[in-house]
Amino acid sequence: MSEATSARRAAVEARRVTKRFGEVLALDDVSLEIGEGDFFALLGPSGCGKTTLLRIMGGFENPSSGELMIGGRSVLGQPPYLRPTNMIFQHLALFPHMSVFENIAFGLKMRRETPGRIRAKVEEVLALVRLQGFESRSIDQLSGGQKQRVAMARALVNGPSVLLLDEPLGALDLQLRLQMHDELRRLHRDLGSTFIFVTHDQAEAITLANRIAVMNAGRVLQVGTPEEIYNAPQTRFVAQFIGQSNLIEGRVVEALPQRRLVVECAGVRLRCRSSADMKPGAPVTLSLRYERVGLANARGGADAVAIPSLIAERTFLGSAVRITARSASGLTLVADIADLEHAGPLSVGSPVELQVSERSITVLQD
Amino acid sequence: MTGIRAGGPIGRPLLLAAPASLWIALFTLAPFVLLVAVSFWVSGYYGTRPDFSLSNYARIFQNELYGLQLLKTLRIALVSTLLALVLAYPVAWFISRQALRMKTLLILVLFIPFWVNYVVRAFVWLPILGRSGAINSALLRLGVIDTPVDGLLYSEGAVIVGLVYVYTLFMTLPILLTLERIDENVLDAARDLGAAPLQVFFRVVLPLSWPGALAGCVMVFLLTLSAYVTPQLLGGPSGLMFGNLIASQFLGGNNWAFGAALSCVLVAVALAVLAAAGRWIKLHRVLGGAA
Amino acid sequence: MTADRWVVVALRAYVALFLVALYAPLMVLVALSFNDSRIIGFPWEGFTARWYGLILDSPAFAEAIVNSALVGIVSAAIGTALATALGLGFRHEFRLKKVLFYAIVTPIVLPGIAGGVLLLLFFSLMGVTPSLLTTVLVAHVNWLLPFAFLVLYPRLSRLDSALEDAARDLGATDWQVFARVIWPAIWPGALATFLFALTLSFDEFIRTIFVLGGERTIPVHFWVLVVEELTPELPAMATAIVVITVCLSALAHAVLTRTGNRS
Repeated sequence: MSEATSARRAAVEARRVTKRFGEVLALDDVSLEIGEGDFFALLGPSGCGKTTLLRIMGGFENPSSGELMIGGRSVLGQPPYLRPTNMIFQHLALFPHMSVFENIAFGLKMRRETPGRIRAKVEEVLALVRLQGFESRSIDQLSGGQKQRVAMARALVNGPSVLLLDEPLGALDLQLRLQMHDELRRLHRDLGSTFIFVTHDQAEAITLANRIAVMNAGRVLQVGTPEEIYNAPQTRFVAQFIGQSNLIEGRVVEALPQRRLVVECAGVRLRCRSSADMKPGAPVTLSLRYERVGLANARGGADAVAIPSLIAERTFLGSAVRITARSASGLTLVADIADLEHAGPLSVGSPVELQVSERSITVLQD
Repeated sequence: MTGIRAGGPIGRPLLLAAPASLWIALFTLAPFVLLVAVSFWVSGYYGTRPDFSLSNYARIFQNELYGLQLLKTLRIALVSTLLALVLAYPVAWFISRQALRMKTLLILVLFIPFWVNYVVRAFVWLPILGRSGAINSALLRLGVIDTPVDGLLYSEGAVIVGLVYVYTLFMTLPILLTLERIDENVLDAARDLGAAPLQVFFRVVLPLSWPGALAGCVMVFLLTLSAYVTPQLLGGPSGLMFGNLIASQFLGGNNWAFGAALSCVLVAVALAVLAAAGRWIKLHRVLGGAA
Repeated sequence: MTADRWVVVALRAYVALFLVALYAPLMVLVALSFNDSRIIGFPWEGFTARWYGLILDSPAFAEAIVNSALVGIVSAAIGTALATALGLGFRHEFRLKKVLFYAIVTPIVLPGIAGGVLLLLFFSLMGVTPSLLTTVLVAHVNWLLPFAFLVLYPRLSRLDSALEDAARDLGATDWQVFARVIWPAIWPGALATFLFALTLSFDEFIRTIFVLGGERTIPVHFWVLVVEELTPELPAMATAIVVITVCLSALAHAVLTRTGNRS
């Protein structure tokens, strides 16, 4: 399940980590490798264990079993104040009784840096997050976005090799959140350290991260780049959690060389590629993104399958039109049609010829 | 009142507040004014008669006895308060870190002794500190001493012990409430930034719990300042406090005017303490924020 | 890291010790109440229940209980009623609200002795003979009124005035709104306040002692006996008082916590 990162050293590695809270199994045999310099996202719904995993990395929880390595060394049992990680908490957890300067300087003070160096470093990081001049402000005088940047500065000033972010942008409005996305990307680029962040927002994960681990119910379901996760989801959950997909049940009719398959679904024969060997007669579930279902045209090519259908529903989405169409044999597909110039009226009840290419279908592994 | 009736809570506020206000005006404020007035009257063996004389206050400030008594009272109150602070703080800290069920249980366990009448709770120290009390009999049994130690009871120390025992809850509770409000994440953040547990405590917990500790100190100080029962029972001649002095003017003596003056001095001291503390915490927020 | 564990262990031990120290004196008291000895103290001379017999037979003690109950119920009722009206008034904004608040809270910060003294002077001047249901009653209401207000007001302020608007919209007068909308919502809180005030009255001593007439309340009765002579049945009486007040307070506490959020 873990991607090949042998080219880079693993910044953080979890091996078979399990965490129980009393009766509840929060993490179930999780293994994960996060490379140095990655902007890594732990993505999943509430309760999937992503925050628990992050807290274990930070040292705020200990795994019930399993191993955790940071920078190649085991950190099991090591308290947070001895780890090379720093965390930005979900609700920021800024020290209410300290000024901006004192908040940011806290970590440096704990390491007994000289006042001169502390001042220099705090100034430096304030410039980095573009809050120069805010040193003596008290926390309650700051806006949401400013508090966010103080929290980032407070963590970054210590030069951690791994920065942990626990849903840091959840409390912000959309506008601010997009701004913060840019800030985070810039910081990551400039600093080159490893960022690991937790989110339930798949759009955020896709835009920010260079690698994503999708989690559910304490397990890691798939790890990969945003493109891989999006275009080739391996499980039903991943297919549905990211983007929107048609999930089609079918049976393998023919198994061709190079793992190409012909699958019959509700009377329609579709061509697709599988990542595992499959035998004829085996049941499969296929995933087909709404926007990958097109309208039949000359550019279809040999591997495209045309499906004559009748439009049952139509919704205007702004940038596209979403139609639900049913073939004569009973195969129902949802398609988001963006190219409206060559589409025709697409009214309910009118016939339409859908086109699905081999590459747009993913065979799910569960 | 004619016209459109506005929405919102029922009743005319002044009308609703009237009964309680009248009660307070009649039975607290008016008597208080009377108290101040009487402090300028003169008492003798003929009774008390109205006057405007500073003789009572003169006596208080000129006669060393009263000044010393006040100082002793302040000292006892201060020692008791600080002792209560030191003893109660760790308990409050411990309780605040427990899970909800344990916390509720511990708070209940803490409360129950304070549901006992404070006269009884002061009395309880007599058979512990006395000649035939628990401590002496234990020490005798263990052979540590040959004859019972006399100095445990009827001393300033006994009063302090009694006061701390009676009033500790008033210290524990405010500190606990303030500690509860400290966000656990802030403590995690401190640890994340390199603070070992002791540093977390001194640099984050202590500063943030300061208002609660101050509120507790103010309450305990005021209560111990005006103590009567505990010093009367446990103090003997050397442990008497200002409250006992005041009481003896009325319950036994007939020097009401002088007693009134002494009371006014005590009230003035109490108000001064409150004013000083009030500059650090908003008193009405401590008492529940009804205003 | 080992230092970390050490601190945790030490703290736990300290808290345990603290709680033991809190309860131990009361345990000693209960133990001594069964001591067959002429003095209040050690050594242990044997088990007896006769001190309890003495107490339960004593008419003065029974009278004190009745007196405490009587003045307690009446003062708690008056105090709760006053606090309710006041609390309802405080839901509005009006001038002098802050001043009034400080005035209400005064008895809490006023030294107990002063509270007793000023009533003594007041009643003497008015020529009122001290007695249970006059002077003592006033002293008790004075003491418990601010507490009743502080307990009840948060519950009152949580009432949604939209309900009152709805009732008024449907034609109800203010009194009807109170009787049919407000009172049904707040009576558990009022009951809790009443019980809490009752415990305060029961325990009140210092103000009572200044305005006392011929009738004694429980704390006063106990005090007088202690001051007169340390008779051997005192621990038994003290234990009886402990049982009564703890049960009463436990009841009040239970009702308080079950009828709304703790303050």
